[in-house]
Order: sequence, then structure tokens, then C-alpha cells
Amino acid sequence: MSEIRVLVVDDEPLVRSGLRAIVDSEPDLSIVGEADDGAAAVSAVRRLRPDVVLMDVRMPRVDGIAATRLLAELDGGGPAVLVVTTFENDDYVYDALRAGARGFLLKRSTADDFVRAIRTVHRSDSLLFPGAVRNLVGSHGTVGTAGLGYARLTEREEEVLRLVARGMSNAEIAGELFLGVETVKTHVRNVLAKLGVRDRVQAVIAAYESGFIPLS
Amino acid sequence: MPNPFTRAVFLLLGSALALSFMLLDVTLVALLDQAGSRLAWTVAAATAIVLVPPVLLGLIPAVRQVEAVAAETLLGVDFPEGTPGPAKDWAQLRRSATWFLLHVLAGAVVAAVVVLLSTLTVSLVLAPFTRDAGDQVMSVGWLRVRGGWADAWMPPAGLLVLAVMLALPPWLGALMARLAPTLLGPSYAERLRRLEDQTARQVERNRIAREIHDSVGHALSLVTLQAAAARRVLQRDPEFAAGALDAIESASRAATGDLDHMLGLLRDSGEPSTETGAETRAPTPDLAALPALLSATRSAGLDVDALVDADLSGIPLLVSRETYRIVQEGLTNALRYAGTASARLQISRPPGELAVELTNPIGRERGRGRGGRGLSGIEERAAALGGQMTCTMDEQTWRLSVVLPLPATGELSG
Repeated sequence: MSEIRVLVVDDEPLVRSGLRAIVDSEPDLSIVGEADDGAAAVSAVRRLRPDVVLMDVRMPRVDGIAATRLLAELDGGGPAVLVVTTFENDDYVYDALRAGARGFLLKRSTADDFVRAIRTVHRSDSLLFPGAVRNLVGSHGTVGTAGLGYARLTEREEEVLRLVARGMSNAEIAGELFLGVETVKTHVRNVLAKLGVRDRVQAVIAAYESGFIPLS
Repeated sequence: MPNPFTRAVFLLLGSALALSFMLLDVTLVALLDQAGSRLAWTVAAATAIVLVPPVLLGLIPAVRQVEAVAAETLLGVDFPEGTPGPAKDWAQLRRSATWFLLHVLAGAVVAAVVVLLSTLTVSLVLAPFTRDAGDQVMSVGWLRVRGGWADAWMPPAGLLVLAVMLALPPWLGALMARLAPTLLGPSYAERLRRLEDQTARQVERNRIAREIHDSVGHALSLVTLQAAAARRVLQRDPEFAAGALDAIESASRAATGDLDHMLGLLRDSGEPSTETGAETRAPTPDLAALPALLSATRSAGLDVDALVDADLSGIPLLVSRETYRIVQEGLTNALRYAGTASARLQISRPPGELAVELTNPIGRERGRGRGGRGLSGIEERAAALGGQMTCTMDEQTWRLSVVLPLPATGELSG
């Protein structure tokens, strides 16, 4: 497996240098660039084509949410955005997830957490911190009762979506449902297509917000 | 929990007050009568005599608090905003005086009713058995004993009167209990003002909490991240690790200063005097504000000769602030007690310490300068920081000297 290329975006040089030291200490990860605000991040992504962007939320000029949204609109889907935030109950974290971030991480996380999170969002076959996503929907989202009827998911697809929301990877879902991994991948792809979302995080948010999966 | 018995006690207190006032009234009215004044005058004077003392007594501010405590403990009244204190303005005085008058009045009514009705009860119950036909009961013209079964209604009527008598105090007590919040508690305007104060305080606290959250939380995250990174690369990149330690040190120091400042704001805003909001929001002065302090002292009439032969910038914020206070109190002392017009301030930094020395020539009023609030305040501040204050006096000079230890890091950065 080739090296995962990471871009660090934060207005605080000390955060950038800390993240750089942590990421560069892993043989399969490398920092390919830094940016100190959202606008610089977008141009750096165009230029450097990183796989993962570690994105601060509160920044001067263009903030992390706007930048995440811009990156999601790039051709080819753009890189996986991992939001790095100071506070867990930050209102902006949810906005960032809705804008297309793959996951979020607290700045006070351990070095191992950072490394693991980068690999997880890069693989993009499972949800980072499924519990946290659920809590965020509960405290910041608007939860309805309409369900996902409009998407016309098959029973199997609904089952797969529930397991995705629990943070399971494709291989784990395959084991749980006695299916092949390729079959699971197809189901996930169909779910994303039917819901009109670009990744698992968005699908799970839609599942919670529609009331398809109850929060309690 | 309303308790009829304690409520009766409350009314009996009113009765006792009423009786003492009545004693006064009776004496004065008797005196007027003897003086042979005309009836109209006597009535007017008696009315004044009956009303004025209780009203005057009721207008004592502390009565509000006394009555409120009595209402709470005896009547079982609940004041949701806490026991009302002494009356602070005319509106409160008026209402608590009204309440006091009602208390006395209710006491008088209870006393009169108990005396009258208990006698009536006994008379009615006993009359058929003890009186002869044709006798009056309690000197009431129409109430006569007729003899035989014709008087059979009297004992039950007596018991009915007893029941009325017994029912009155609880009923009056309940009535008073219902009136208490209106007459003794805070008025609507007061409650509104208190609520507004509370809200303002809450908003301010939330603002400070948010500030702490943002600044200190940010700094701690930074420290955590840098420490995690440094540990990760300690062997491979010692240079980065050293830089990280440096960053951790200064971020922590700045955050500690912020925290100190903001907790100070929280303490200040917790105090009741929130009207000086502009003042409490201003940061606590530290040694950076020394020039302003010196010029203020000079314009107050003390010629201060200041010698600062040290870099004061690297001193921890807390020490800097306390030193500022110490200098301030020392100068105030010199100004107040020394009776001289000059003083000499010297601030220096021997290794690991911060030394403040304040000297002034002893003026005419020597001997008065010892002790006093200023000095004990300085001593407390110095002791709190692990330092020492010494105070000496010779023929010509009064010398105050304070030495505060500085943390080792302060030396490095200073």
C-alpha cells in the first residue's frame, strides 16, 4: 500500500508543527504541505493532491467548514477531510460533517488516535467514532420522522446502513450478514447512490436525521 | 407546613404587643379624661394615641426582618427569594409598617375575642344550672334564663361559641400568612430588578466561561498536541522535542495568566456590587502600571523617588500584580502616616527574588506609623507568595522591605 499523503490546515503554527511531527513519524504517512487558512487549503489541495486533509475549523478568512464544502465539490470527490477541533461540543463540527468531512478528531487526542484516524478516513470503509456522530446529530441536527422511504432501500440495504451507522467496516458487515465483502461494497454503494450522498458519514447523518435510525 | 399552633403563637405575639400599646392608651386617655378635656378632643387624642405608636414602631427598618422571620417560622410562610432583610426604601417601610399594624390589630382581635367568647361560653353552658329564672346572662338585656327546658339551647350555643372562638386564630393566621408575601416580600419591581441583575450576572459569567473555554482550552490542546508529538519523536528529533517543550512552557504560562485573570473576574462579578462593572472588567493592574501609580501618588502630594533597576517584564503575572498592590499600599501608608512629603522606592531583582524597598524620612508624627491595615495587608500578600516583609525604623528613616521568591522559570525568561 502506498504512502498516505496528508495536508495540515491550521492557523496556529504550533498545531501544524505538532501534527507534522506525529504524522511524519509513521512510515506509511507523510505530510505533503501545510496551509494556514481555508483558501490556502483549497489551492494546496489542487496543487499537491493529498489523500487526507487535517482541517482546523476556526480560522481567519475562509474557515474549515467553507473549505470542506469547497473540497467536496472538487472533481473526483476531493481528499478525505478530517476535522481537527479543540472542543467536542463545538457547533461547527456538525456543520463540517454535513459539509462533507469524513470525521473529526479532538486536538487533545493521542498521537496514536491521530494516526489511526488518518488511516480510517483514508480507507473510508468505516465510520470514525460512530457514537460521536450520533451524539452530534442529537445535539445539533434536526431529527424528523419521515424515514428514508423516498430512497426505496431494499431490506438488505437497510440492514447494511444500520451496521454502517454502528461503525462497522465492510469486512465486519460481511461477517455479520454472512455475505461476501464485494457484495457488501455493492450494497453500500447502492445505499449512497439512493440517498444521494457521497460517503458513509453523510449516509449515517441522513439515517439519523430522517428518523430511520432512532437516536435513543 | 402550616401549623395552627405556631400560627396561634404568632397571633399571641400580636396580642402581647396590642396589650402593651393598650396599657399606654388607657393611661393616656385616663389622664386626658381627668384633665377634663372635651369628648371630641379626647376621641381625637385617643385615636392618635392608639395609632401613632404602632405605626412609628412599624417604621423601624429592622421590623421588616423581624416580622419576616416570625412569618417564616411561625406562620409557615415561604419567601422564595430568601428571608427579606431590613426595609431599605420608603415603599418597603410603608408595606412593613402596614403589616406590623395588621399584626397588632389581629393580636388585639384575638385577645378580645378569646376573653369575651370564653366567658360567654362558660356563662352559656353553666347558666341553666346555676342561675335562677329571670337572671341575665353576662348582663345582656335580652339574654335571660327562663327556667326549665326553655334554656336547653344554651349549653349547645355555648359550645358553638367555643368552636367559633377556636376557629378564629387559625383562620386569622391563614389570612396573615396569605398577606405576608405581599406586604413583607419583595415587590414586583424589586423582583424584576433582582431578576435583571441575575440575568446580567449570568450573561457575564457565561461570557467569562466562554473566554476560559476558548483561551485556556485552546492553550491546553496545544500543549497536549505538542507534548504528544515531542514524545513521539524524542529519540529521532531531539531538536523538535526541545522546541516543543519551549512552546509548551510559554503556552502554559500564558494560559495560567489568562486563567488567573478570568477567575479574578469571576470572583469580582460574584460580589454583590456589580454596579461598578466597568471597573471590575478592567484587568487587575500589575507592575506594568507602575508609572501610572507613581504619577498618581506624586499628584497626591508625595514626592516619590523611584529606582527600578530590574527588568520587570518576565515576572509571573500573579507576582507582578501582588507586587503592584504591595507598592500601592506602601505608598498609601507613607502618604497617610509618614507626615513627610517624600519617599524612595527601589525595586530590584537579586537572583531568584524580587525585592521592593520603600523608605521615607520620619515626620513629626512618629510612632503612629506602626501597624495599621496597610502593613498587615502587605504582610499577608507577601506571605501568600512565600515571601517576607520586614519593617524597620531608626532615628530618621522608616523602611519597609518586601522580598518575594521568583519561580526558577522566571529567571530563565528574565
